[in-house]
Amino acid sequence: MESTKPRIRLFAVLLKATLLFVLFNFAFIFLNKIPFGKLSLYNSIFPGRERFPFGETRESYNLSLFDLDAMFAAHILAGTQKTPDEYRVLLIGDSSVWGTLLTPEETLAGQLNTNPVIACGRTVHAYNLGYPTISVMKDLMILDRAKGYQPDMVIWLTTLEAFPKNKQLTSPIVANNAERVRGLITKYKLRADPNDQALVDASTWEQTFVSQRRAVADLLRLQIYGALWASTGIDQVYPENYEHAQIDLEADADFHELTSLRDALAFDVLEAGLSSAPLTLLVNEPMLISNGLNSNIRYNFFYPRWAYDDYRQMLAEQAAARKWNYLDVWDLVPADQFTNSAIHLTPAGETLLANKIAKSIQTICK
Amino acid sequence: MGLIQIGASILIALLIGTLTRAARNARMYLLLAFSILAIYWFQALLPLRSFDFWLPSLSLALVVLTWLITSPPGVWRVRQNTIGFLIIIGSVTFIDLSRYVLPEPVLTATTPPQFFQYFVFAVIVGQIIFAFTWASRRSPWAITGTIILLIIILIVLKTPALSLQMSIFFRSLANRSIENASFTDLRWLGFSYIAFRLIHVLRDKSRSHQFAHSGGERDKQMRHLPELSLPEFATYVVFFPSLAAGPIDRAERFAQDLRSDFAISQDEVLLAGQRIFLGLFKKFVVADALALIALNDSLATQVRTTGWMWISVYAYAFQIYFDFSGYTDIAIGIARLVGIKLPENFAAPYTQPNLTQFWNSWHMTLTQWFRSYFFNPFNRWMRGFKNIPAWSMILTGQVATMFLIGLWHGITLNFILWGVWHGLGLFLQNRWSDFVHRRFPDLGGNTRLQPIFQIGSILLTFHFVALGWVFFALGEPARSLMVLRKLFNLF
Amino acid sequence: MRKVFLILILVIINNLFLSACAPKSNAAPAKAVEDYLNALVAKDSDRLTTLSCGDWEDDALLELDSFQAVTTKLDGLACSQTGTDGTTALVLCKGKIIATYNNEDQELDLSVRTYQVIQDGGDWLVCGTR
Repeated sequence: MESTKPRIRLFAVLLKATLLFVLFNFAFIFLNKIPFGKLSLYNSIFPGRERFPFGETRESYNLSLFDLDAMFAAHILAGTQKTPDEYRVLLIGDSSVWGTLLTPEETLAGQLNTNPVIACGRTVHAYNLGYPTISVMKDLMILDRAKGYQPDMVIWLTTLEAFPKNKQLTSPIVANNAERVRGLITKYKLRADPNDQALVDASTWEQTFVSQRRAVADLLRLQIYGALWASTGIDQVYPENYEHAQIDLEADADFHELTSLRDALAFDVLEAGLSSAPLTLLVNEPMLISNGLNSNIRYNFFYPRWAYDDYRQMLAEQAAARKWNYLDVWDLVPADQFTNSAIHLTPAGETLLANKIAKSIQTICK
Repeated sequence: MGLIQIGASILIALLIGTLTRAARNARMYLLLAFSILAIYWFQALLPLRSFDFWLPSLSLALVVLTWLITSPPGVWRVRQNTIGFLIIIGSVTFIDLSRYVLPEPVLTATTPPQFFQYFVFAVIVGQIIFAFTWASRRSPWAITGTIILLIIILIVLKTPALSLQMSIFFRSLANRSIENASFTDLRWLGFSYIAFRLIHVLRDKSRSHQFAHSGGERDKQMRHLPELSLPEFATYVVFFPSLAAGPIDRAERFAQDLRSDFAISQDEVLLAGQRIFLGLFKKFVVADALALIALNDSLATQVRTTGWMWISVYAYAFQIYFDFSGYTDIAIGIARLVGIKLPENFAAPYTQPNLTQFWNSWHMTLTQWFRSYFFNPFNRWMRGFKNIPAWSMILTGQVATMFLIGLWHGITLNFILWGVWHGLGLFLQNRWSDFVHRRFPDLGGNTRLQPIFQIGSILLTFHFVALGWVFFALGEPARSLMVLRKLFNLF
Repeated sequence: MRKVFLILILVIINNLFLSACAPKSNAAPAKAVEDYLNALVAKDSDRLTTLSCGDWEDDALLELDSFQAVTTKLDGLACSQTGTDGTTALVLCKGKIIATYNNEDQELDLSVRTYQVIQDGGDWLVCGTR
């Protein structure tokens, strides 16, 4: 008896495939609510990263993404069980804490871990939760997420540039975590506007698979980069030559077009973060103090003198009033120990900072 | 070919396949026209101004030249050939004139040269073609001369030092800084494949002429290359799906498909679509993901441990396979939409139990080309020397062939080492097989040990090939040796 | 065959007239600078070279080098020819190059320089800045 294969109708196949794809595309809006970022090959197949994934070039074997769950899942903090002997210290801050142009061992966290510090009878283990954006709202977002990892102390390194209210919501990682930020504004009763235009609210179409394909690809690529992290230990490009931080400055006293810092700085965000963690140390981080052209007007590329002096005074007053543990090391590091920015330190500069911070940890630990 | 170019190729192939149902000539002419447009569109932008126009134009000039000197006199009178010539000239002229009508270059990477420059080029090239054709009617050496010309161009393109000199030469002609010259300035799309297709036809035609008047059976077999019209020949050489990376088809087989009636059907589209989809997945998903961790010049010095170095080598082995075979799948699928059944290029090469079978299943069309045009003739020539022992002929033949295959990829020490690695491997495998068959003739019948031998052979062959890839992947032999030391923990 | 030859000659003559009579657009120098800046921001050294004259090629590539470590994009690019200096067209652009490093944007105002553009082989090429 002849058997005949059923004829496949091409049009029917194409139609079904298209319909299935359209269904999946829109179903992704709901699927996206599932925190897939928490699924990670790090801390299982690959070792956890010493610092958050961040990368602007492929040669760094690293990439930037907005998914905080994925960032934490890739971090060594997520895979390290706290031992009774461990005094867990989380370092929050900007690119200077993250360690631009520094290897993981040369960063503040790396140096605190390399030279064992004993605090309250336990060995300090520092975790680098710095991220290259200067914004206290970004810091609060990370701190709020990190609280679940049982820190004994949170050290928050900051600088004036992190405070202007008008830039709190503009950094990409903050703007693209609108829901999380709104939650913080509500939880801590912050003065930021939850409906600020800077916060990215994805439309229905922008939540579909087609629109989110880059985010999905980045999540997958982050996992593949785990193999490169494990095999090379590289998470940043270290150029042989770079442009050093400016010493000769513009004769410009402008700071974010402000005439006064009163009510212009997001101290409420700082207060929210410092009050939410069990034990905190606020550090006014070191910066380059120029002695070049127009250094009588400006300290460096970021700050005119008037603004920074006002800021230091305000910060000190706030710290005293609210009884924060506060360490002001703004002038700790000499100008020749900065790299490509007025806040990025050389390894030697980080050593100076690490030694100072180690003493503070030992002083205030509980 | 990027995704956009692949997408456009699929659409064009579907269009041609659908619009020219059972209209053989229309299909052929449309394939020719689109293949010519593709040769310009796919050509990468080059830092030498207008070379993204001149190089494809030279490709077409070589096609016309080769066809003319391998065709009998008076071919112009055939209508098909006249139409073919008009299509070629018309398409190239259209591309050049697009400079005056399109606000942005669309068919070429940069604005095509001025019409006057193109006209002068066409006249000069036309005269050269005329001269060669005239010479070919009077001497069989014109064919040899053309083969030599193609090989010289290949050598220049594949040798970094020579390519650099050519770039310096062209830059100084254009009053450009020669400090910025680089050996990568002359990336001539698909020339390796174009040259091999042309050489195959030239060689077979010259053999046909040799045996044209002899009557023996073997000689009759040598007269197997039929006359091809210009559209058939040109389409075969610059066929857009296989332009950039093969497979290297045979002219007579390709022409047979062109001459057959073809009506696109749902089954054909489905089969072609499956092949294309598989190729896209292999190339753009698997290969591109593996490329992130595959061995390269940077990773070679950065990977810290033996284990990860092996992973990096394995990743390269699979990346190169998925990339190349994926591309072949796409080419075969697209070709199928227009009724051309391109030959297969891969047959599960990493599952082969020995190196000979690996080379019979990896880039098969290249291996077959070298077998036909070098290995077999070279071996026949060596057999003429009675004093050469058999093992020495096998060694010389295999190493020389693989050496040339290495050179085809690039005339640099790393490719030479890769070729020699495989040549020596083939020889050792040949001697080992011979030894085993003589000493243990019953081994093949032992069914219990067979699976173990099979798996062991496959693993051994795969690892031999993978280690060979170390030379292929890295530009400097010193770095390759460093990687090999790391792989075997000999830091 | 003669018919084909005659058709070819006619086509060639027509095309020579066409190319001679092609309107010379004032937008071409501005377009050349826009293409140049797009190539710069895309870090496409090959394209940048083809859009630069021989004398400017080295400087163009140096400028490209300075952007290697940062992510770049253009914002509000619009160029227009503002005048001529002999055979050189002068082009001024509005907009900025946004260079991002460590998530911090630095803006480079394009209006601070005037681009010098010359014609070579029928194409407009960037040949310097003022």
